[in-house]
Amino acid sequence: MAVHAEASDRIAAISRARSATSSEEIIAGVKEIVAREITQLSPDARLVSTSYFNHTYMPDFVLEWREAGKSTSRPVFIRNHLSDSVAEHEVDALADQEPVVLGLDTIEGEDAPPIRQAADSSRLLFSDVASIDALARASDAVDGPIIGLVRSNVLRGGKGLLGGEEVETVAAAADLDPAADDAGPRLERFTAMAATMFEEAAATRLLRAADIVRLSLLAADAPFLAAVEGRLDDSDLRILLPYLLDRDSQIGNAEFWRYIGSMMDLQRLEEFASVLEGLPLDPLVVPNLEQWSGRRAQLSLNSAFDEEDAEIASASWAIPNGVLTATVGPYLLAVASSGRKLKTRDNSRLPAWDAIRESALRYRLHEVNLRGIVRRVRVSAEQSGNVAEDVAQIASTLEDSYSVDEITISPVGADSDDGMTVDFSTWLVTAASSETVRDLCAATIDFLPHAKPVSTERRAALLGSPAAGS
Amino acid sequence: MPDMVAESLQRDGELGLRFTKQWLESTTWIELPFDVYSNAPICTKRRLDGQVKRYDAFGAIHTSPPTPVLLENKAYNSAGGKQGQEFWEFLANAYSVTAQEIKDGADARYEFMWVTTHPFDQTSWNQLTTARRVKQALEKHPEALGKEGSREAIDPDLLSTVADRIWLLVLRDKQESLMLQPSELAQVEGLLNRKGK
Repeated sequence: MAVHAEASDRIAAISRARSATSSEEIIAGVKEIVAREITQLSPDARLVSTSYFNHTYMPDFVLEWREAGKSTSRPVFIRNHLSDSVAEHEVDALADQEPVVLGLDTIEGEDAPPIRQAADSSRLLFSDVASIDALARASDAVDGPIIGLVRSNVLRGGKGLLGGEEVETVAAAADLDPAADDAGPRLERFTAMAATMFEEAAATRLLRAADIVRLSLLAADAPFLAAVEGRLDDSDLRILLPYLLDRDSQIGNAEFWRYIGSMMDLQRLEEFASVLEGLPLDPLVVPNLEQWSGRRAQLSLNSAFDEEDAEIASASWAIPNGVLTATVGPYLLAVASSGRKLKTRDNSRLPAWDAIRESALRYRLHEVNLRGIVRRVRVSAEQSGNVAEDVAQIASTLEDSYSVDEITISPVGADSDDGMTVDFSTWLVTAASSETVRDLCAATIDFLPHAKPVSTERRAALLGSPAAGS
Repeated sequence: MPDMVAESLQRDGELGLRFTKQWLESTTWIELPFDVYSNAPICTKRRLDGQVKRYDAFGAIHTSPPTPVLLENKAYNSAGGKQGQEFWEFLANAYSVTAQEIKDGADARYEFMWVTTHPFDQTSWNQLTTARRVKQALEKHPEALGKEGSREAIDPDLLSTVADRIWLLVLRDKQESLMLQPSELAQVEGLLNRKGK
């Protein structure tokens, strides 16, 4: 929790800095105060100081951050005093640079409307140190997603005026008590303000996020209409997901979670691992097993499994160490968007064909690799009319003793023809292109625990109730 | 009523200074980060008689090393009025402030800019920034040379030095249309690299 100086202390500090008797002291003093306020509001942005101060056309700072994998920046200009007439000139001079223009003196109440007006058709953001401070304080005091989203978006994508009134509206929209009567109206006031306070892309994302929060406040059986399209920004999801997961007992709506899931994929989930560490992810993952795709799955032993816990049938999805993992009784099933994150194990005992034949017959077989003591045999669908029959025949021979090294399969009726390879020595399942998370999990759980298969209840809990048509 | 007049005058003064600052900074050769409204101490210099003189703005010309600049910004509507008188004081102060700095230890090399909206003293216009004129200014304002009884003698070399450091500039609103725009300047600033950073 940041320690905030009192307003009077801050005003005194600014006055002291401005009244120093050397250029260096003034510049260092003022920039230090401003930098501190900005980083308190936006801790994840990088603020780079320039060699200019209060200059007509060169910024005092450049704010840098990464968005969707690209580096972006925004100039920050310090001004002593923002008034009605000054604001007009600043818009004329600086609108092209789409900067943040920060006043050291607090903007007078009566100047706020004309300043808002002056900034209206541009992407320039006016604010003052007092408002930046107030917003940071409010964000630290309240642990809500709306205010968190505003905080992370305001300096990057804000426009118009961020003054006392705006900070009040944002603070009021935060910390929504779903049971309170005014939750809806407060959220609507925020929505109206967000539309004017942020440039289009940021506004759209914030409004979508506010929509999501609002929908999560509605009763679980309310009909859901995804009126807003597109994906949320990484930083927005980072804030929303833990909040929504925490409130799932009030949401409890698979449709809602499928909507959330439609805005992301397994790879993005892995990128958010740090904010999701330790949280139960079932509400988010189970409804999206068929919507998300992965490349690899792996089975390992659950060292924490206690035979006495045998009754619990749920899958318990979580994301320890950045890898999505389900706890399936005595096993752990990890799924990854790429191959790099999974550790492999060596030399698990290979099964005989008979041990996996029943499971194999539920799939379309592309290829089976058998390993005998003397030789290896590959049976593939290209050469064989009936792979299962041919394998059974080979396996029953007395000349050698065969185990199954790996098989390549596809779910029956699957579009993708490339299939998945189940490797019985490394306990890895690898998709040739990509498969749904559900199919990867099914293949993993159907074949790898061949020595000690998983109960039907556990399998059903892992794979979720079948969606219509599957 | 007097408060409102004072406030209005100050606002005009601030806007006028803002325009002057924009003009000078648009030459790319000078920056004026500090003004008397927000940074009074750095705009205030001591004279030989112990009195202080407050300038409207303080900044630097991008020479190597940078040259400090003290600026007076004047808005006049006609050739008459007090501008002539005020300019005499300006010259005397320039000498006095420079002399005091030297007495304090080192020559800070301050340049003194007088930016006005209206010319004055047309018959003497070409002589307004000569050593002779500075001397005349000191004769009109002997207090600039020190307190009564301990006045400094006028140093002819210093007269020339100070005269060389006086700028007399006229700025009219219409010139705004000939100034480079901030967005254009922002693009070339890095190429020009006048600050040498």
